[in-house]
Amino acid sequence: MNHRSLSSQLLAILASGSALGLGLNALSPHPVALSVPVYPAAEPGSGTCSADAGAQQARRTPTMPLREALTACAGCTAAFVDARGTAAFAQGHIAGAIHLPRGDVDELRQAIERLRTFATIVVYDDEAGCQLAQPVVDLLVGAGFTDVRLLEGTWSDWQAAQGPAQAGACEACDTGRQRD
Amino acid sequence: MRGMRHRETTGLRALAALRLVIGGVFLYAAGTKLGDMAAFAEQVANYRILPAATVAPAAALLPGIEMVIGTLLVLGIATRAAAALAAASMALFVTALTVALARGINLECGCFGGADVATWTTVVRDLALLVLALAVAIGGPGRLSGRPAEG
Repeated sequence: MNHRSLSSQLLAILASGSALGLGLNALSPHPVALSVPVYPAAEPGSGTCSADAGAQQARRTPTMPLREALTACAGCTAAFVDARGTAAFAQGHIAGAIHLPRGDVDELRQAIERLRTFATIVVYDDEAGCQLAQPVVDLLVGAGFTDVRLLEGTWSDWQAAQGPAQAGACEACDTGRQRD
Repeated sequence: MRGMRHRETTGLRALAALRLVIGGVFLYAAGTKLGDMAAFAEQVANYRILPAATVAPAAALLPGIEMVIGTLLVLGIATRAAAALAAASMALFVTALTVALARGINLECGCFGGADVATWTTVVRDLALLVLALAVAIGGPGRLSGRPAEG
């Protein structure tokens, strides 16, 4: 068999297989929506702020493992949002994190606008069930952000992993009435 | 002379058996994914290799390609090309599994639908299939193929 014949067979297999795959997906009882991004799910047992510990709604929120978040933090490829109270944030937070406690969009507008330069946003708190982070995720999704994740793990886990951290108020946020 | 012919016959039968086994594995792998393609897409996403926007198309195409490869191998048609693609896809799976396991990601393999957890044993199994597929890609379809003279 010559190379041209082999190449054409390879292409034919890939083309027919792709077409068949699309057709079978359409016929599947649980097809995958082709135009919707699919994010990794939480890893069982990793971190305390996980889908298993969170509310039912948290199960549908994409997450980012702590290890991946450490890389994203070092590479400035994601924005980190701290959903804890003002005092907790001032005591210590992920380096460069924006403080975004639960509130309405108008009140937090400046902080939210700072996030628009990032493709990915990772929200965290220090609660086992993401009780503070999940509402902020919902708020950001409602504000039009498309890639918002929960950190798989808490602020305590981040400290234990010796992730980059800093203390002090969020000067860039201007979130208006900040609250604990 | 008779011994040489015997070895040749045995080799051809072995090749035919190999392509039937690999083809069967590919058909089974494709079939187990079709019931819940959305779940398979999540398993693909959990490897954390593909960008989120490309996961769904990749997950939708893969079972179809596996099915065509499996069918061709079982029938012994375009065997070398099908086996080469089988080997290439096994190389992809081995790489993805190795990267995921090395990164400490706890995930389901996604190989045969279901919730089989990916381990280093999975990598070894896929490596074995890769070697077998390469053998068929190099050796050809063997006996009992749909096209005996096909290379």
